[in-house]
Amino acid sequence: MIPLILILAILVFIIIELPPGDFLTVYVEKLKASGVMMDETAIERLSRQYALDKPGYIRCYTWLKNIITRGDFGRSFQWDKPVLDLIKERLALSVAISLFSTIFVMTIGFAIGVFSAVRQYSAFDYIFTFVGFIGVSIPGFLLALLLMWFLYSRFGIYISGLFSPEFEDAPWSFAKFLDLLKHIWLPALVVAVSGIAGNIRTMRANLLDELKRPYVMVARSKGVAERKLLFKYPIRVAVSPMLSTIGWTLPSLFSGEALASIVLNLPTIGPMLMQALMAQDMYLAGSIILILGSLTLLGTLISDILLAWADPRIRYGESGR
Amino acid sequence: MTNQGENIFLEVKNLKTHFHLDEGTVKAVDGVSFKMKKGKTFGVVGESGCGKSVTARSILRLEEVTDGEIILHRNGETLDLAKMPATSEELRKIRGKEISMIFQEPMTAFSPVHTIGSQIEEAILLHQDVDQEEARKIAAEGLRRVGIPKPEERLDSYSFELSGGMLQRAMISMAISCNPNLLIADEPTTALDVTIQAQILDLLLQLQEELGMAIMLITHDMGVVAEMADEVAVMYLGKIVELAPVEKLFYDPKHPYTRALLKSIPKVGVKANRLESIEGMVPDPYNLPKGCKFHPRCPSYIEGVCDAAEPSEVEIDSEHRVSCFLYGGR
Ligand SMILES: Nc1ncnc2c1ncn2[C@@H]1O[C@H](COP(=O)(O)OP(=O)(O)OP(=O)(O)O)[C@@H](O)[C@H]1O
Ligand SMILES: [Mg+2]
Repeated sequence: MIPLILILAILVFIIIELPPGDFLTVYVEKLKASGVMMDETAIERLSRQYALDKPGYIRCYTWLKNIITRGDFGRSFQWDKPVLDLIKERLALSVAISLFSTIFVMTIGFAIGVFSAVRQYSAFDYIFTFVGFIGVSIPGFLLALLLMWFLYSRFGIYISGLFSPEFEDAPWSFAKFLDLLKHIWLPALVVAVSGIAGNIRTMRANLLDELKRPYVMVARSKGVAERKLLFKYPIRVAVSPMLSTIGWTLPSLFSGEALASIVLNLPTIGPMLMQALMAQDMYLAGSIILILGSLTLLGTLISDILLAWADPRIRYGESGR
Repeated sequence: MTNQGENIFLEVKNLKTHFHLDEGTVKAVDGVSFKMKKGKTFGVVGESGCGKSVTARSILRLEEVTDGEIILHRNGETLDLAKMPATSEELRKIRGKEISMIFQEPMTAFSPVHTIGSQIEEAILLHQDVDQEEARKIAAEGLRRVGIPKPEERLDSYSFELSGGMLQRAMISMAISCNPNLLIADEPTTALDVTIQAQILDLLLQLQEELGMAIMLITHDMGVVAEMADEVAVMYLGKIVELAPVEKLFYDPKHPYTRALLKSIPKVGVKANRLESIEGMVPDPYNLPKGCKFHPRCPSYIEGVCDAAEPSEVEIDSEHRVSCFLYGGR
């Protein structure tokens, strides 16, 4: 886990360094375009200040060292502020949205999948299979746009942001938290849609497979009640593959969240990452990617633990004899 | 013929279980009737695919029954299992307690994510008034009874940790854990070697004596039938073609199919093997021959008779019946 994060950090740094030029060149270009000229010495001073004159690996080393020893992620060129201060709140909101999305994906996807399988070929099953296909194929941001347009044109509700106006700049309080809960479900749902649709399909297919297994009939032959039997045996076996997907759905949740946030104008980390990348604000962009990446690794770890807990075949490293 | 005075436990009348698939209808069980008596063993034999397992599962309503009656006799009352909703509480109380079943495939009969113990204890907790701890003791004792070494440890094993023979014995101990009145045993000893097979069969006979349990024994092994069964039904393509007490069936078989089956047993001293030596193949279930379904393979085939209509059942005597034109039935 720790070595993985280190490797991740180095990779992130290399990728951030890859585009030609750096923040200063972009900055100077911009100024030029607007007619302002900067003299060479000023540029050089800035360059030294941000260690842009040093080779990349030294910058990488300093950056990592500061993160590990002081929890200092560096400064943003653009905002001229410590990265951590800039991203703290936005990151928390993003994580909150992703967390809610994950919960939606797990619960809604699970419930509909189970119901579809148990009532295979019912109207419910057909409707949700269809909805599922659309859900998998429609991008989250498009859904967000459609939803915004629909709610506004039909009901005059303008959904945007994560807070009501009166709370926008207010300090954190319980009331603000409640207000957040009132708003967060919609973006979370938008982000979750494709995950939900995917999970419906996985769960339905897995459960249909498991329902045919002899152990289900054996349990029935013992006199176990149908509902109890369903949850205890086939559903229990069928959730394993779903648990294993938590890990790798996280990155797609993060990127989905970024797009949806831009569209819905949410103060989350996604739009900030976009800006930072475009301006080559390398420490800001790098830190965001590093943190999201680490969270994804953490998610994978959690999903592996869950999986091992749920499925003894994995716990025992046994693949069936 | 009346059943008065006879000790009937379960009576199956004209049972039909058909599967409707895209390729066509499979008449897996197509009108079978038989009676099972308390304390007796009812053997069912026949080639692979003739509907033995489906008959067994239909009795417990684990398959959707198309037609027929499944009458259970209990203290002078009769209950028709075929009329009960498949998920009814009434039926659930019978399953596992009054009638339990040993399934054919031991490897897949246990859930891979639950311990063997929890699955055996489940049956005990459902039907006996005991707590978790006692259930565990009963389950461990059950495993010991079927000859599984270190039963306490085995209770905590998962199915993938045990061999086929082990699982089959665990399955058997699960089925007899609640002392059923009828034990349906679908090829209960296929995964076991000869000595253990003998032990298990002895155990079943012993239980039968102690509890007056009826056994429905499904097998390919004519040797096992000869040893265990009191009465034998021979099935061919979803029908019982001959039904007789075991001595009569072995010494005076009537149906050409039964004769062929018996001929396929290796001679004395050699263990009976799978029934492979009958001429011809079992017909495709979607494309059955007209008339008697055995006629294309039958050595006594009568042209114009056997391929024209299906024979009806003929009573040779009160306890021996056969469906064959050689004995009437036109
Ligand atoms: N769930 C099912 N759906 C469709 N067809 C089935 C189903 N179960 C069994 N069959 C068909 O019913 C017929 C009888 O099967 P069954 O399992 O009862 O045979 P069997 O006599 O037990 O054979 P074996 O000796 O191999 O166990 C076969 O043709 C089989 O393909
Ligand atoms: Mg079978």
